Amino acid sequence: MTDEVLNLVIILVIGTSVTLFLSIAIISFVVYYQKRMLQIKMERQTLESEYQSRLLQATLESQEKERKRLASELHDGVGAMLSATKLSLNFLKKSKLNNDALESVSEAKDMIDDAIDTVRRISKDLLPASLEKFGLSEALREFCDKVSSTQVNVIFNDYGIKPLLERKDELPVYRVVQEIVNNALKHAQAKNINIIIRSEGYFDLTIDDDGKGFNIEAVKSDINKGVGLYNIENRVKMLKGTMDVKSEAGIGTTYKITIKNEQVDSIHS
Amino acid sequence: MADFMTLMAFLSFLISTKYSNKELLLIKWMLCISVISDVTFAVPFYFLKSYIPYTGLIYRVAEFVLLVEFYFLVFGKNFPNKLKWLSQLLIPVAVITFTSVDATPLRITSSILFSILSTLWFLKIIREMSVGILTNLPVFWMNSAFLLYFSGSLFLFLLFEPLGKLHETSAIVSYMFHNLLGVIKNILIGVGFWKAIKLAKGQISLNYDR
Repeated sequence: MTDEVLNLVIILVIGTSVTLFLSIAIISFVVYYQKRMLQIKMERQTLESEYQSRLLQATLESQEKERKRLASELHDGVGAMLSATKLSLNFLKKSKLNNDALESVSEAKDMIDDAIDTVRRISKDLLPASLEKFGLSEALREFCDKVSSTQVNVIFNDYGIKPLLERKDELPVYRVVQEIVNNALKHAQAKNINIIIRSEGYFDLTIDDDGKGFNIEAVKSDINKGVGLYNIENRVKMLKGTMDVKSEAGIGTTYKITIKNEQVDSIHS
Repeated sequence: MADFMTLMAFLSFLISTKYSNKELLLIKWMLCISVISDVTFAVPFYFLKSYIPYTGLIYRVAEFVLLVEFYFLVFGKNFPNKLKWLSQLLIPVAVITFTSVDATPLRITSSILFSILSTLWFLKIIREMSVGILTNLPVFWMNSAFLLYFSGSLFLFLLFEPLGKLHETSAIVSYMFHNLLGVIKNILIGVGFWKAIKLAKGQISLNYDR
């Protein structure tokens, strides 16, 4: 082999090795870089979603806190004042007054009674006392009794071992039921609403109505109409639950909400 | 090694028959022409001790035209303007090559052109960041195949002629290395088609969340 051939072979080997090395380096770099960038992107997305979730939780918690404060102000402040006024009126009624004055006092007493009832109702709507005292099932039963009338039949049933849901999660679930039932009455004009809670391994909440139903996608995309559904979804998301909504025009709507109980899970595992 | 390269091209072509879309159809055609040209050359050569001329040349021209078209499709509107102009200019080179019965100029130019285009495709992928799992993308495997093959063959094509004139054995050995690169290229193309079939069947996804 002459020097010229040897030189050519050396150039060939070195050149080919360099170009091949560069090609392999390019391919490896692209795969690694792309993977790394996507990992960073995904981590950022997870952080953003965690932040959003925490923000939502804080908003809902402050909302509940404010409701609690309002309920307490109404019940203990305004309610107490109205009761005191009622007592004073009773006292005034017993004193010697002419008939006109007595009639006015009686009317004022009736109005005070109405006001006391209204304050109690608003206070209960803001924060049902039975939820803290007796738990979710009793609070929902009470809510259904209150909503039921001659035109609307709201039935509540619960099955399974109690309590499967953590205490802190009961209020958001109560709010979800409240929102769904209100929607069914207000927008769907439902006549029959069934609320079923199953606590068997998971917490399952099913609410179905015989209202006129709605187009889920259309409601979700309409910013004015979709707020209620958005709130329900957010509360369920906050509880790390899943929600499935099925609605058919003229037949009704079914909401199925499943929430995993972390405490129960850890006991089972 | 040359037979093995043909076999790999044939196997990759068999895999490709189960899948077709516009981009990959061109690669399928390239494999098909590769197999036909190799078989057309090999069968008379082994059995009749003679060969049909121009089979390799026809393949080179077809490979050039199909790959330019492939990168046109893959880049779409982002096809580099200078390279578009260059690749169009190279079509007459392909014709000259065909008429002068010397594939070396075309081999060298296509090695440079497709090495650049395949590197640019990787740059495009990094810039866009639209694919989740890159190794599930069929074009990734095919582009890697072309980058390895054309960049690895560049010096071989450059020095093959002078080396052949001075020392035939060295030239033959160096061409065997080209065939090895051809085997790798055909295997990678086969992997690309296999991924394409799996992707079409929904067995794999380009996104991480699946």
